[in-house]
Amino acid sequence: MFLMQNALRNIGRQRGRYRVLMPLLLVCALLTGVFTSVAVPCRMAADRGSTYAEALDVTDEEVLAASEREDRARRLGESATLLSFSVLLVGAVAVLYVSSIMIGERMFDVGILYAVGLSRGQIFWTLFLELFAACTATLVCGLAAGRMIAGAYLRREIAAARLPEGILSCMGGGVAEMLCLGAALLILLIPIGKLTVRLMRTNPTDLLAERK
Amino acid sequence: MIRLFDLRKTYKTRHETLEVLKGITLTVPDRKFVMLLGESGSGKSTLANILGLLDTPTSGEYWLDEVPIHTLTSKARTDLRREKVSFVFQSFNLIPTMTARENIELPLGYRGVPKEERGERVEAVLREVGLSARAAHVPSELSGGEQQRIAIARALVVEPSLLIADEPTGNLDKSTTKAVMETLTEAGRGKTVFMITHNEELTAYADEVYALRAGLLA
Repeated sequence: MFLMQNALRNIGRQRGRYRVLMPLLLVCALLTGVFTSVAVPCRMAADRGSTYAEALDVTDEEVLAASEREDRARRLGESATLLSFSVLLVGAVAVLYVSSIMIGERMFDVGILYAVGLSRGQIFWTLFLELFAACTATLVCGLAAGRMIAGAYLRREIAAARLPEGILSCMGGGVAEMLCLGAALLILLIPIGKLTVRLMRTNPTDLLAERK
Repeated sequence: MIRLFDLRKTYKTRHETLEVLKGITLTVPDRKFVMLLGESGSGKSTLANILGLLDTPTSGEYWLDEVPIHTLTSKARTDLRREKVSFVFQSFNLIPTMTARENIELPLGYRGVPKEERGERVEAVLREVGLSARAAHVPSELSGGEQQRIAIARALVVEPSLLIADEPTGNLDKSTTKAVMETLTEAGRGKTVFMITHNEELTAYADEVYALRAGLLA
């Protein structure tokens, strides 16, 4: 319990480059959330455009208008998908970079933690929880905020382009966001592996000597 | 009680083998303030790290309170270190993002001491080192002497039987050194304190003084 409390407390009190990079991670997660939430329903709306038109039993002119709307939704969806993947890529790099910096900076504390009586296992779990909680909390917040922003944007877009209201239901139950989060957590396995190796290879007394 | 028999420590690099401790035999009774003098590179810190169970000797025997440390596994050494040993370092080694109170509380938390008891023990030890008023400050807001006294408080809060102080006054001026030494002797009473220094003026504070030259006790 103390281990978890301590890890969470440390997240808000980082220093150096980590403090600058954490907002970058948040922005990346936010943008990923926005674009993912826009891309999925727009693409689905484009795919379902004809179905909507048929279902509404409309005239030829209205079918033409529906076709235009379908094109517009498709373009919107495709751009959002492209942006979503680009930001996701930047976000992945940010997760990797932030976590490796975080490990580097926290390694200075490893010697102290060892000297005050922590075992290597306890040190690992402290750093792991800090890393994991910081990255996942940021991503979850970013994705949730992104979904909210995307919802508001889509409502405006639906009204402007007279797209069927029903496409909002295509936003799904956050499946796309969960996939993003899953991908980010998979990426986190790399720094966690790095942390494990560094802890196994480092002699804490050397870290203490470096600080002299 | 600390007992060392022919304790040796050798470091192997790619090009050479360096024998830092060349056969230390020593007995330190309980509750004594022992000072170890020596020049830089004489092996003082290596000996302190071995005594504090942070490092292991290459050969020889080390008995701490009748426990044969040289036969223990790494995990058993860590458990024993947590139970019996505390450190004070030259560079204070406080965690910079934590307040003085949190730094002191840290080793108690990881030992599973309940929150209320942690609070009481931290307050008591802060009073002992005379820094209750500075408890909410982070290390960068404290002077060197205050940081070292917080480090002493952190070392004492776990009630160790052995306190290792590796050049605790090395980064301090003369008047601050005096204050820190008084804190260390007062607060360390009833414990075995093993202090390393190259400052011969401080030997007045010690019950026993040893000198280490080129890896051998003189």
